[in-house]
Amino acid sequence: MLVDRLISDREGSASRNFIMSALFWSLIGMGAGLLAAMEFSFPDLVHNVPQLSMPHLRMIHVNGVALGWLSMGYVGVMFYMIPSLTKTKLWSERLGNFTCWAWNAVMVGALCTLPNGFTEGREYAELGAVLDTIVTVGLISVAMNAYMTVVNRKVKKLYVSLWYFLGALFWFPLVWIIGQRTFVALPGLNDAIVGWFYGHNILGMWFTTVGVGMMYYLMPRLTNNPLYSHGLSMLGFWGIALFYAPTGTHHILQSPVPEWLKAIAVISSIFLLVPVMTVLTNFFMTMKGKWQMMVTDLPLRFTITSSLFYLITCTQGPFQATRWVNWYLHFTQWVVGHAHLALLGTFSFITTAAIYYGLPKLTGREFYSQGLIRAHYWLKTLGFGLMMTSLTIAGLVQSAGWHHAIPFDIWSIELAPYWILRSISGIMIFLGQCLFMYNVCKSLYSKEAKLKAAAKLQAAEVKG
Amino acid sequence: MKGYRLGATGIIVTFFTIITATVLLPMVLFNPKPSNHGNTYKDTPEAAVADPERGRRIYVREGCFYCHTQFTRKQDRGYGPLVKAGDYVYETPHQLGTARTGPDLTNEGGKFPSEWQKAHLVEPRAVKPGSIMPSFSFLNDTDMNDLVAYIQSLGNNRPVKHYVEAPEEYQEFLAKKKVDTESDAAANAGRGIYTQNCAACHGLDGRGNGPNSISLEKKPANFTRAFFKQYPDDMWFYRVREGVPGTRMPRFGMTLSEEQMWYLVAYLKTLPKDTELVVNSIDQVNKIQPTRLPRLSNQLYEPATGGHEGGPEHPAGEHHSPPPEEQPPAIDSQNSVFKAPAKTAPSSETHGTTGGATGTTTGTTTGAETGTTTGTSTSTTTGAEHGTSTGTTTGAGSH
Repeated sequence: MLVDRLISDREGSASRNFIMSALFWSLIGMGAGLLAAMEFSFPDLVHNVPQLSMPHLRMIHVNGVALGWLSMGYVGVMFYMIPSLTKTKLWSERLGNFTCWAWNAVMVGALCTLPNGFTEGREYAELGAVLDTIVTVGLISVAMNAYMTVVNRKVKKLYVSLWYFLGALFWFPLVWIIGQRTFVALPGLNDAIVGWFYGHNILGMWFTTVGVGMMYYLMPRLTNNPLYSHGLSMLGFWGIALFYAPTGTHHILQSPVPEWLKAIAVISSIFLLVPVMTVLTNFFMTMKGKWQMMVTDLPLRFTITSSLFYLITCTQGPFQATRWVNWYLHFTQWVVGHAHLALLGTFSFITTAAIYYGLPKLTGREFYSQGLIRAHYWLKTLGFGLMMTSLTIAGLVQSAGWHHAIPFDIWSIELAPYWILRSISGIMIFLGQCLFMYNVCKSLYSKEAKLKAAAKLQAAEVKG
Repeated sequence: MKGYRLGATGIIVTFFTIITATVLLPMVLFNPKPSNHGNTYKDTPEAAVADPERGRRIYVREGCFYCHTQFTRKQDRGYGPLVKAGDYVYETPHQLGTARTGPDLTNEGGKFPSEWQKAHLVEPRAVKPGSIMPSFSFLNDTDMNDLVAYIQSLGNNRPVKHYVEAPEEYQEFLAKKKVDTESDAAANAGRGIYTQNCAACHGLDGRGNGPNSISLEKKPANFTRAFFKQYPDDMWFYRVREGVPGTRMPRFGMTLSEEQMWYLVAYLKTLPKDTELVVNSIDQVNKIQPTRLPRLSNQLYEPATGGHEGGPEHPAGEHHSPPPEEQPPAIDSQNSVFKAPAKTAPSSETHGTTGGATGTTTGTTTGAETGTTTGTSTSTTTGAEHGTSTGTTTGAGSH
């Protein structure tokens, strides 16, 4: 019985469990990020606690947000969207729920090991060997589940979202396995090359592909407009498949790695403008005539905001990857702002939109409060705008500082106001996420919600 | 499924091509040979008392690389030589880093005394006001020592196996040298020549961070490194006169006179810092003088008569000889793990005292006058020195 409860095979349970876990880990990940941001302004805020020193908080932040919040949210949303697009059930809810537990175990493991100093010392691949292996198994079982669902589909044609999802679920396990470097010890720069292949492709072959797939799903659904062009969507998909994977080396553009590798990275980074622009053209043309819906339809508002942030990220990105812009901006907080623009601005927003859209359909319970959703939206958008602005300016101050050979201790003090602004923006974003969590819990688990659902069910029966 | 076979094949082929090109191919083609600076963490002075290799693991464990990078770029000024591919052969996992919230640590070794590093790790804001580095006071003593040993092993400050020495014929130059390169007056004369000829690349304070250094592939030398303490006069002269092969350092023998070059040498010799100073407490750390500039004097250097003839024989107890500089606090053998590396003794502290060479020739009255003025100006500020230095510059130029 307990097994049935924990690893249930009720329809939609895997999706819901993944989404709820994602929300839980988002609070931990974002909370760690907020505390780390505050430690920039007040370095002695937490004293003598190694677990809460800034580098350890950063590990929790990155892993909690990337692996906990975004990845689990993505899997949850995919487990909802893939069956809906193929008009069939998820291949195995039990496998899905099992994966969810395994993934949560990984996150608990990460929370126990990383702050205590058990790290592999590789950026974005800090987890130890055991946790790496569990994530690999989890990813493969998610991929298996998705592929089998598509095989059993009732619709003949595959919608473009499915292309993205299935592509991501093929790419990401491979990228993950290559990128962890758990059982190999490569010499310095080779380690960096492989590391940045992974570090960029966790974004390119997982967050971007699934995120864009979600946008493709949500925009036509929410606006009731048909997708503007299937041809363009295919062009965008193949563009990402071709140009995203080799761009990793642009992170170490000024280190002594081979020039030909840098050239490949820079050229394909610039070519990324092609898929990005086709994808966005497709979105905005799909929105044609329905822009006013942004005001009333909150999931759509999140989706549009996300796609606008995507536009900014992806115009910044290729230019940052060129040698001359990279020469000026690399190593600065500008890049931190850019990374948040992608992961928080674009992909967090689209996951949020998908959850606001999907969770009521999944559980049959309306959201407790529309006002809280609005508050969440504004806290996050304004907070993120503030964060982006402060980090961008801080980055410019920084690079001006060292390009004019001003000693480090002098210009680093100049950054203090931007650190404080970032802490404020962090508080806003974290607060928004807390409201989100509260809203979800209130609508799923409160007494009124249960009563409402029961009444609805009764009404449906009476009607039927 | 049949309709999608082409698509699936396309995805698989594309992706594996990319993996081959950007992941596997570099592993095959890119195998740099370890360079001289390839750090094995074995040949540092600190390795005798603490374990830099373990220190590296602590560096990784504490996540230092999130804020500190370990690669210098062409446009970085004052971070030391440009890195080469071979420097990283032993670095696994790589610690290149992504953001410079803190300064670059590529050449951090030897920049500060070990005790300073320790104090900085425990209480960053006590030694660097405004720093936002978290305090690592939770590290136990062994961890801390190992970490500091690792930091001190970074970069090019490790003992060099082969020193370049000035060629034989430079003994002749040395023999006919008429300038007392130990004197402050000569150094002040050299300062002007330095500003005119060297500062564009080596920077105003000799840190190798002049504006030209941005575009140089081989970074200009940072004269404040303790390494340069061991340079004898003829070596300095050799480098100034013939330049440095393989770099953009010109042959100043073509443009400067021999005498001017000796002034320059006298100035350059004042630049290296004493990083071997070891202190026992944080309070003393603040008192370490970062750069010891030559004492200022209003005397003009008299090249024809001054210099080495008057120098050593001059009575040491001259009225304007400055008070002996504060001796470095005694090394407490219990407290400080890192004793001063015995490469160079900071014995040259007193070399400025012979600066009164001109006193013998121009008359004692000038000497007395300058004595009083010098005393005040040195003890008060170092910032005022730039203004006065230009004065000496023009003076020296006219002679």
